[in-house]
Amino acid sequence: MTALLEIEGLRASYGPVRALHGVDIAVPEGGVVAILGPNGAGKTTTLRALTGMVRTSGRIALAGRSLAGLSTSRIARLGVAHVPEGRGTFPALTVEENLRLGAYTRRDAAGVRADIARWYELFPQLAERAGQAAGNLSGGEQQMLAIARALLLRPRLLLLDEPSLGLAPMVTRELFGVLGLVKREQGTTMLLVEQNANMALELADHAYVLEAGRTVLAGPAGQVRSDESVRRAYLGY
Amino acid sequence: MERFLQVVVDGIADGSIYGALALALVLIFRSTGIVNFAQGEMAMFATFVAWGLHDGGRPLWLALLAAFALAFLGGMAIERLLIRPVEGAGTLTLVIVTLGLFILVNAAAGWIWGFTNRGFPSIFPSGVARLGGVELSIESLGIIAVLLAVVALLGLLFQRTKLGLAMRAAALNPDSSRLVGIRVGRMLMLGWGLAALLGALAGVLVAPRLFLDVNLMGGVLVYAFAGAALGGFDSPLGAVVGSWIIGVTENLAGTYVGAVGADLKVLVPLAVIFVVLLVRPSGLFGSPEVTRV
Repeated sequence: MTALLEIEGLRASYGPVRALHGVDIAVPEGGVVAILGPNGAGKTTTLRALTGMVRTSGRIALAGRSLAGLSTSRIARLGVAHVPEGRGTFPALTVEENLRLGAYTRRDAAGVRADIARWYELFPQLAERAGQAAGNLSGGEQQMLAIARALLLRPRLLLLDEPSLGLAPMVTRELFGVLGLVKREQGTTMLLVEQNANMALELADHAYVLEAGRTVLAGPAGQVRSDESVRRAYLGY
Repeated sequence: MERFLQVVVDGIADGSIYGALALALVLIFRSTGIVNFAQGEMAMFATFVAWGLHDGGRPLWLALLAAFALAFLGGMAIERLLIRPVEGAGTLTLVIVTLGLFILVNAAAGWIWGFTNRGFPSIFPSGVARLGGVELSIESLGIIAVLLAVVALLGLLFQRTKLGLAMRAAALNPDSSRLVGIRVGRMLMLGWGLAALLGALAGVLVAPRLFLDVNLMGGVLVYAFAGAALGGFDSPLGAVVGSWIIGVTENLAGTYVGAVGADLKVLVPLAVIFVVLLVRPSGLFGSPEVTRV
């Protein structure tokens, strides 16, 4: 199995503070991989390293091509869409403009219009508010906008950082329902950081557990789910 | 009544010139978060380039086109070479850089073209046009038409094109912009180029009404500041409307308030800046969350 994304021995620091001590993750083409771990384990830093937002050493390769040293916008143009913590939308711009910006790198105007129409069908709340500033949306709607925005890139790899953060349980369920749909229908490869381990392991094929900046456990989602220590630490039973 | 209308139209024409420079200030404020104090001097330099080419025998339209092109490229070069290296260094550092640029450009212009006054030809014919029984200066009407065309073109660029949307996005939210693949640095460069172009336009419009010398834009910059402050420093529409209000107020006060006259009318914009900052710091059209100056 050759992986779409390969991370080996990834190290990163914020100034003198080392955040990652050697993370190894592989994401197969079309697969959904979840990263679990306590706060400060380096989950967000791993995603930020992937899109060139923190300086790193170690190997990151997308379809065999090294991403080291590339700028964030260059990595986006290679097909990596990142929904960061805090969503990465444009609150002052309209919903429609946010979606059009998601497709900034694409040249197929007709395809973009069709995709936007499809997202409006999937999220009627977004269609109703197409002309309103994105900042006026509710938290759940903003997260859906952020995900739609990212998928409009037609990414080869979608990075999601805590999509359920601050959302009501019902909204979280709806959100993961849509992510499941995207996985089934479009086969989008995803790397997901999530506190809601239950939801994440339901969606994911594979999971990694990070602790203190290292990969400490890896395996198929079902296997990680039944691991005694994971269950106690993250699943709460 | 005819006199009143003439004064108002001349005021809107003056305001349109301030508006072009105010638009330049607003473009840079929105993207870089600072007021570019060198904006007027950059405009003066471009105007001198046009004058030099025309004086050397080139037709006026060619001289103007060359000056605009140079302003655009020069604005981009300034962003890339002087502003970007200190981008993360904070507002104060950036403001000091633009003040340094002010002195540098002013001195360079004096060194190249000297400190004497030059006459600058107008692109508009002299004379008056009769509109509804009122004689109005063709130059004033032409200046107003040029600004309206510029506003329409900018509106099209920013509201209707992908490039304009990307420029707005890069100004509002650089991190998110990079994540969708926008080259933010390139957008900032483009913004500085556009701003310099608008400034150059203000320069060649105002030069025939005054004399061209190295201090050409000093007064205009103060009025443009006042217009942008009145309209709101982050609102292009506000910058234009604010500048019109300044231009009309200035001309009306200069004409009808005996105590003000031609000598004291420069106080009008200063009074406006003062009152606006007291009553409504974000300006008529500005968003209140703007904190940097």
